[in-house]
Amino acid sequence: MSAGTKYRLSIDPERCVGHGRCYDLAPALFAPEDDEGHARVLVQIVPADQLERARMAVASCPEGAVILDEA
Amino acid sequence: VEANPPRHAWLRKLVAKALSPQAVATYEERIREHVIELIERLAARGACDLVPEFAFPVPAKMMFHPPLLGHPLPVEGDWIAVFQGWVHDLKTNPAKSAQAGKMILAYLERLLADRDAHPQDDIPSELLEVVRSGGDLNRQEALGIMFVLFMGGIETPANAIGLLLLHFAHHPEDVERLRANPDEIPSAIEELLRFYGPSQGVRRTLTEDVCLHGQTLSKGEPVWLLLNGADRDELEFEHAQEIRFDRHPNRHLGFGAGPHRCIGSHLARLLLRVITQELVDRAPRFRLQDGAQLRWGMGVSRSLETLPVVFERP
Repeated sequence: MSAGTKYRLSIDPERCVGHGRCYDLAPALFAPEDDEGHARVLVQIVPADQLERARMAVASCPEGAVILDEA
Repeated sequence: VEANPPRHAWLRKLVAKALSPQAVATYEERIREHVIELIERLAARGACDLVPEFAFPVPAKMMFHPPLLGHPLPVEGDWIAVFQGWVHDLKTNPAKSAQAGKMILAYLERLLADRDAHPQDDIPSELLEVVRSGGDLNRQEALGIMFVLFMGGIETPANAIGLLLLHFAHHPEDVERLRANPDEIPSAIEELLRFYGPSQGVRRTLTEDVCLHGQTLSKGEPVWLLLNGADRDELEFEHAQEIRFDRHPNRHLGFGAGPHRCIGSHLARLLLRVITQELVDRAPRFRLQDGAQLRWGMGVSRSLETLPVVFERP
């Protein structure tokens, strides 16, 4: 991982069931999008100062629905 | 509860709006007011039983208010205490259990009849509207949904609150820790849900053959998923038997998982957060009364029946 690497954030809609861990942990990156609490991402490329939060969200999703990969 | 998609998804939608993260956020102020009022009253009295006097009334008042089950109908005596009696018998008294279930259903039927005549901005009125307009729902099913909301929205959170308070009564150092660092409260709640999740297991019927650890389970068989067991799994949680408020990640199954995940989880989290915030702030010192006997309910849900405490002056 180099300092200049950019990371893209996404949600796998097939997996997300609305636990809401991601927007609780990283409200700058995720928000609920419907009544069930399914999540949507607010940014595509993660700002550097939010990268740790993004990783927390990935690790905390019980369904493995949060995806962070190199852009 | 055991219905499968797509009907299940459609049934969930009927109640999801009032339990959505956005809707739940609008209940916070009202819940906080009630929690503060109760804590101050009980702490001023110096001693109380936190299960009937706090853990049960907080979610009961929340559920029996628009837009959830709506305003309660009059019953003889204090409605919260009456409901408590029914739920108590349902859980702990096999002889009275069937009768208690009937009392709850009869009450909910009366509530439906009331909303028939006087629609309100609540879930029973909305369910009736679906039934009336020829939607894929009959009155009996509407009653079933209300029963699930009654039990899942009052009894289960009351159990979760009771277990949380029991932990705090035993561990004043944890209360102090959260008082000094309130930002840690949300992650502490996740950890307490992992460790003390009231729903110990859920029943499912297999939709296909499964091979698990060399055992074949056949399609159509009923199975129990032990959520509490999974939540103490060392393969997932390092030092699973220890409570670590800063545990991360914490993919606990306190609310289950998949399409049947607890629909009230957003509301339950809010309740537990507000309670913890106000408690550590306003009445941080309480302990079990001397010689107190803890009594546990029977059944699937881990439930503390009584939690007699004394508050110490700060």
